[in-house]
Amino acid sequence: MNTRSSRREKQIRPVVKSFNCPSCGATLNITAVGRTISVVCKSCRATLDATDPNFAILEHNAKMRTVKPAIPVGTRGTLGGKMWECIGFMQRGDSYGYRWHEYLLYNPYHGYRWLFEFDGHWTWFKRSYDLPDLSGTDVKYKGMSYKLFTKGSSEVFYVEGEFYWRVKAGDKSNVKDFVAPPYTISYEKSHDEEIWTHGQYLEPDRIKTAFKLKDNFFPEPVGIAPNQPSPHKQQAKEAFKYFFFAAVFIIGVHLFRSATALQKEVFRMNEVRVFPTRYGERKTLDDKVLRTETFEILKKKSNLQMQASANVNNSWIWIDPLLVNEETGKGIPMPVEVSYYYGYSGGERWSEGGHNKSRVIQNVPPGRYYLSIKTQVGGNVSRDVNYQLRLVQDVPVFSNLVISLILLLIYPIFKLMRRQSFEVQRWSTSDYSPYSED
Amino acid sequence: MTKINCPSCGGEIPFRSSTSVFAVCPYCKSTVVRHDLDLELIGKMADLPEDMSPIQLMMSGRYKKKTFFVAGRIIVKYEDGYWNEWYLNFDDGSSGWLAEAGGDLAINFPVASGLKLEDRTIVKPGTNHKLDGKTFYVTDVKNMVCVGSEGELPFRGIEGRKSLNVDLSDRFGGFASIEFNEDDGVQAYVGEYVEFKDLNPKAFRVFHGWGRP
Repeated sequence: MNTRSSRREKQIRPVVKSFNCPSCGATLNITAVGRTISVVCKSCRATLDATDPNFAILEHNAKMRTVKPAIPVGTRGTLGGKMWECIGFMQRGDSYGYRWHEYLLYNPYHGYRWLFEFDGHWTWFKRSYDLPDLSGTDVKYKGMSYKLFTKGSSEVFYVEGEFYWRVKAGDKSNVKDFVAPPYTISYEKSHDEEIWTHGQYLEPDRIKTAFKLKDNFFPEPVGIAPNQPSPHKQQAKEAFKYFFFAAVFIIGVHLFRSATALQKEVFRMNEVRVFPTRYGERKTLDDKVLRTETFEILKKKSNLQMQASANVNNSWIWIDPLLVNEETGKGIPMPVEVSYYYGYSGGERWSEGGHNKSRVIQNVPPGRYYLSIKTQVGGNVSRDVNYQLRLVQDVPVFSNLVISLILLLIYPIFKLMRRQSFEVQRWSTSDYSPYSED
Repeated sequence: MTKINCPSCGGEIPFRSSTSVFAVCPYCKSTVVRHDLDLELIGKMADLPEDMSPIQLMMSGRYKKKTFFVAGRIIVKYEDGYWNEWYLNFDDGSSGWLAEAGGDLAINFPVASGLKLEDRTIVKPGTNHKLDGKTFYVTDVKNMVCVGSEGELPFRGIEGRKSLNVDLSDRFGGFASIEFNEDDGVQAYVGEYVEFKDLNPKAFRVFHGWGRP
C-alpha cells in the first residue's frame, strides 16, 4: 500500500473517541462510542471499563497468551453490500482442546455481526430476534428444522479490541449449536442472559476478498464444518432430476415402440409331439430333426421373438431350432428349455418353471427362412410331450427398458452415496450424529 | 406545535407533541414540566454521554405507512451498559418508542397489560405473558436508571429515574417490554424488531466513511 492510499484510508476512518490507557499510557480508540462497554488495551492487554469516564481497569491480562487474528482488529471490509469494521476478536475453546475464533463486526447503521471461524471454516452470525421453538428434539426456526450438533461449555482464552459487554478472559458460558446447512443456530447462556444467534456458512474466499487479507495468517479450511453446505446434496438432487427426465423419455420411447411395433407372426407350429428319449436307445440325433416349411421375414431389420410352450409336468423339453436362411444357408441357433416342476414338501406346495418360454434375437436380416428343430425331453416323462412354436417379428422388449433404467440409476446412486458419506463425515465430530451406531 | 419560552434562558422550547409533558431546553439544558401553557423549571440536564447512534432528534421516518419524527430520547443505564429509548410522534397523533440497544432496534407502542406494580416479581425470565393478544416470552429482566434525556417526553425523564425493565420476544420477530416505575406505574409496549433502513430514515446522523444505511 502506498502512502497516498494509506492517507486516504485514515481520512475515511474518523476516530470517534481517543484516550490513554490508565494502565500503560498507550493511546487507544473506541469506534462504537456509547455502545462499547469494555476495551482491551492493545499494548498491555488490560481490560478497561468504557462506560467509566476514567476507563477503570477491570482486569490485568498480562499473562494472556497472544493469538493472532486472521482479520486484524481495525480492518474494514464490505460484505453483503455493507461496510463492516472488525472491532473485536476473541479466541474461545472447550475442555476437549477445540479452539475457535470470533470476530465482532460493527457498522453504526446496521449494528453488530459476528464472524465465527473454526478449522478455516467461516460462519456469519446475526442475533436472532425470533425465539426458536424448542418443544421437539430439533429446534424449529422460521419453518426450518435444526439438528443439535454440539452442546457444552466454552471459555474465553484471548480477547482484543472493544465489546458491547463486559468481556473477560476465563469467562465461561454454555453453548449449544444446531445445524441445517448452510445455516446454524447457536444458543449461548452466560450469567443470566440467554442469546440466540443465527448463522450462515460463508466461503473462506469471501472473507479473504472482503477484508483484503493476505495468505500468511489466513487459515486453510480443514475437514467438514457442521454447517458447511454439501456439494453433493445439490449434485445428487440434479442427478435424480436428470434421471427422472431421462426415464420419462425412455419410457416414452418404449411406449411408442410398443404402440408402433409390427408384432407380426411369421411362423406358427402347433401340437408337435415328441416321444421320450431313453438312455441306451440307439437313435441318432438326426432322427429327431424336424425341418419346417419355409416362411418369409419382411424386409425390415428388426428383432424376432420365439415363443415356445409345452405341456411339461415334472419334466423338461429342450427345443433347439436353427433358423436357417434358405439362400445363404446360414443358421442362427435359438435354443430354449421349457421345464415345469411341482410338488409338496415340508407342508408346503411348491412349483418351479412354467409352460411357456420365449427368447428374442436381434437384427434378423430379411429373407426366406426355415427352422431345423432338434428336441429332447427328460424328467418324469410317462407320456408324449406336445409343444408349440411361434415366431413373431418386431416385438417391444420390456427388459431393454428395465436395463436402461438400471444403467441410468448408477450415477444418481453414486451421487447419493457420496452425499451420504459427506454427511457421515460431517457428523463424525458430533455426539448427536444421526449416523452413529448407538 | 406550541412554543413556550424557557423560564431559565428565555429561549423557545418547542412542544411538537400534545402528549409531551416534559422537555429539555435545547439552549440551556434546563429541564421543564409543562402545565398547559406554563412551564415549571425543575432542574438542569447534564451533558449526555457521547454515542454513535444514527438516530437523532427531528429525524423522520416511515413505519407501516405512517410518518413519524423523533421528538425526544431517554438514555438509560443498566449493569452492563446503556441503551436509548427514542420517543416517536406519528402524523396521526399517536406515539411510540424506538428502543436501541447494542445495535438492535425495536419499535414498540403502548398497550394495556393489566399488570400492577406488585406483579414485578412474577415476570421472570422464561415465563410467558399475553400482551396485545399475543404470547411473549420473557428474555431479560433488568434494573435501569435514567442518565439523561433530550427533546420532549411523555413523562419526567430526569436523571436518576429508576425502573425495572422486562424484555420479551416471540417466535415471529415480535418484541415487547414492560416497565415498572414507582411514580408512573406499569406500562407495557408491543412491537417488533426493525432494521434501520426499513424505517426509511430522513435527516439521520451521517457517519462519513461508513456507507449508506
